[in-house]
Amino acid sequence: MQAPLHSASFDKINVIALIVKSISSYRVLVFLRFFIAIIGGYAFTSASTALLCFLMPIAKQDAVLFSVSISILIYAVVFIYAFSVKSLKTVWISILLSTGTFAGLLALLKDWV
Amino acid sequence: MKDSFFRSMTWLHTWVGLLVCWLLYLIFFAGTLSFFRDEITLWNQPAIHNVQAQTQRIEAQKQQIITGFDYLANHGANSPSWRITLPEPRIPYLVYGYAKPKEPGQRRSQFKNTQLNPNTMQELEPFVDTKGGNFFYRLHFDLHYMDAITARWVICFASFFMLIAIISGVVIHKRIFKDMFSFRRNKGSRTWLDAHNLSSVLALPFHLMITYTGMITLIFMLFPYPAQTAYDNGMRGFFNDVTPRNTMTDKAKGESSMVPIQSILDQVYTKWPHADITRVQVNQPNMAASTITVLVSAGKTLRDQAPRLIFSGATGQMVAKTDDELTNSKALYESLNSMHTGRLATCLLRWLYVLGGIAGCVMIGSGCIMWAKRIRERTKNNAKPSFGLKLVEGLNLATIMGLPLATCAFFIANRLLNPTTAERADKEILAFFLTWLAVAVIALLKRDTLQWRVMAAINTVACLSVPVINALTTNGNIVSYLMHKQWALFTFDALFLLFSILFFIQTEKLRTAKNTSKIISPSQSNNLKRQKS
Amino acid sequence: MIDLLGFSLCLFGFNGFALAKFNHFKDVFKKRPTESQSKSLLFIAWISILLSLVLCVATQSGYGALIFCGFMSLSVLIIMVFYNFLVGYVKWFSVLNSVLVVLSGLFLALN
Repeated sequence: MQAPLHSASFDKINVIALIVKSISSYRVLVFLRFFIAIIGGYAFTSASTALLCFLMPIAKQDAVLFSVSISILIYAVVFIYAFSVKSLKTVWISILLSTGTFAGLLALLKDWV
Repeated sequence: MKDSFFRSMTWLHTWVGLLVCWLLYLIFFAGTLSFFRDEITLWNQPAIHNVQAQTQRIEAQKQQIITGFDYLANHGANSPSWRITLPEPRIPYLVYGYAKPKEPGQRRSQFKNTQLNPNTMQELEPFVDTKGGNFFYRLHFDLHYMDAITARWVICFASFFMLIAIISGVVIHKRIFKDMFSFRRNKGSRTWLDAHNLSSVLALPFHLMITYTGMITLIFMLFPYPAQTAYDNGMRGFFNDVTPRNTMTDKAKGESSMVPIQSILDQVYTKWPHADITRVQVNQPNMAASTITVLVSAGKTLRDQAPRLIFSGATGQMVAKTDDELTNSKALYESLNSMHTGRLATCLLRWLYVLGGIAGCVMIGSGCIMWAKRIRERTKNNAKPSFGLKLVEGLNLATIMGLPLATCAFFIANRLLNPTTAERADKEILAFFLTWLAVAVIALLKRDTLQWRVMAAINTVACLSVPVINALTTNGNIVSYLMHKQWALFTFDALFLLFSILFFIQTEKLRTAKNTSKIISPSQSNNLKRQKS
Repeated sequence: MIDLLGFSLCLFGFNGFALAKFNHFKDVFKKRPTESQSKSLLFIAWISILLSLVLCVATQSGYGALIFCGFMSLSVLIIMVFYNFLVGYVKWFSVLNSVLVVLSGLFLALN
């Protein structure tokens, strides 16, 4: 009874080790970096411009036009940031956290929840 | 992501650039041609070649509109909308059009247009079916055989990568201002690097501007979220808010006679004494809810939305108008858009725009060639080049030499196709894409220097044949254009002759380069410039 | 004429920038530039470029700014061609450039 169980858990460890190993492989790292830069950057820009537009104390249409005009600038800065920081973990956490904060703030202000 | 910021940016510049460079080349190529949109349409439409530009264009507008209203009242009394398009400096003819009733399945109703010579007010010969400059204009953001929205997302993605490549390129090129004017000839990949740097630096403000503003033109597809959060009914609410609309008489029911157009024009000229009217649109003519919209040219101001006044057709009262003074945000957005479209540009600025566009093509082209050459130099010892290298080299040849050839094919097809052919406009476009496909197939099979030379030679002949075929198939030719001061047509033909000469020089240069190495001649940087016209 | 003055000033400025560089100066005059020569060339170049920008923007506002960007591209291209392919003609070219600046400036001042 003991032996198969032991080998099963051993297999499990093996699989995890394999996953960890493959995650650190170059291609996957590059993929994760591009993923957070493109998708994360897009989410960050959407959330921040939407919040900015909502908070600006000017006419609605002007707020919209201003926030879309600078959106690409924000996106580009986030993208460059995602590639300039050495630690992938920092990039992921900072972008996800700030996007989450902005989106949460917006949801609170708009009474979505 | 690499050890230093500098190395990360180098890595980013290389890969981001390489991934989208051929698509970007297409966008820049077609976009640069789009600055000559009206001139290309003019060339493609022999019926309007001999329409003289009016000497008193703006003064004649009032009478043209009044005549147009008489014409439309007689011909399109039951039509849902009328449109009078007045001649512009680059568009010499006058159009009276009314919408035919919408047929089932149509999104927009078709217009029945009558084109007139504004000098004689005679109807022009029937137009041939051609897309003209609009083909290149649509191509540069809609691609072609593709769903427009998907294509625009792809274009935005590529443009964004372009922006990233420009920013990272500025960061990595440390000596950017130091070797600003240096160009080392005949030094293999160093020459390519110099061509790449020079074309980027010399038009850097243009590159940044055109890439950024290009995305701004599609921004509401890319980032609809600010508008969606600010307005309860989303994009629709936003657009209703920014576009001047008739909210005063739009609920009116029943028929009503129209006020004389004279009284409306008087109001326009009171407000803008020197108005250069570009278009007059009438919605629901002869109804109580009818509107008459008068659009005027924004001239050299940085405004993309044409200034307009909207009147009620039944009462003659002004019901809506664009803002006279833009708020800061609106001015920012409008100026970004108008910079990209360049509709404000007069002759000098238009050519400067084209210079920037050509520099962009050289920058992208030299960038992708440089990548291939460096990998080729590195893998010299291995006999077999990798699949990736072969692909890049093939795509380089296919886009850089294929696009000019396809463009020539488009214009030759315009002249050689029978004017009565069914779906003629689509066949011209088919000629463009078939030629490009043929070049691509050849390029993917064989991509050595000899192949570049063959392509250059074919391009020489093709560019030469455009003005020649034009002379044989129409009444005019390059000499008569010069004699009659038809500058747009003359420049068009002259540019093709110029590019023919440049391609010929490239062919000759490649003969000498052939013996030395696999290097594509350094003169290529010049050759890239000739991809244009 | 205002465009011509703007452009010739811009060209003059970039000409100054190129001459302020050690290599280019040596190519043209066959001798080394002194420190003060380089500095004054740079100074003149900056003044000239800024004048061109001010002129374009002051007379044509936003449109002028676009024109100025175009002028910069064209100037760099012309300077590049002269300093790499036609070094021998740089002196003549500079004289012609200065004459253009003076003539177009005079023309504008007199009218």
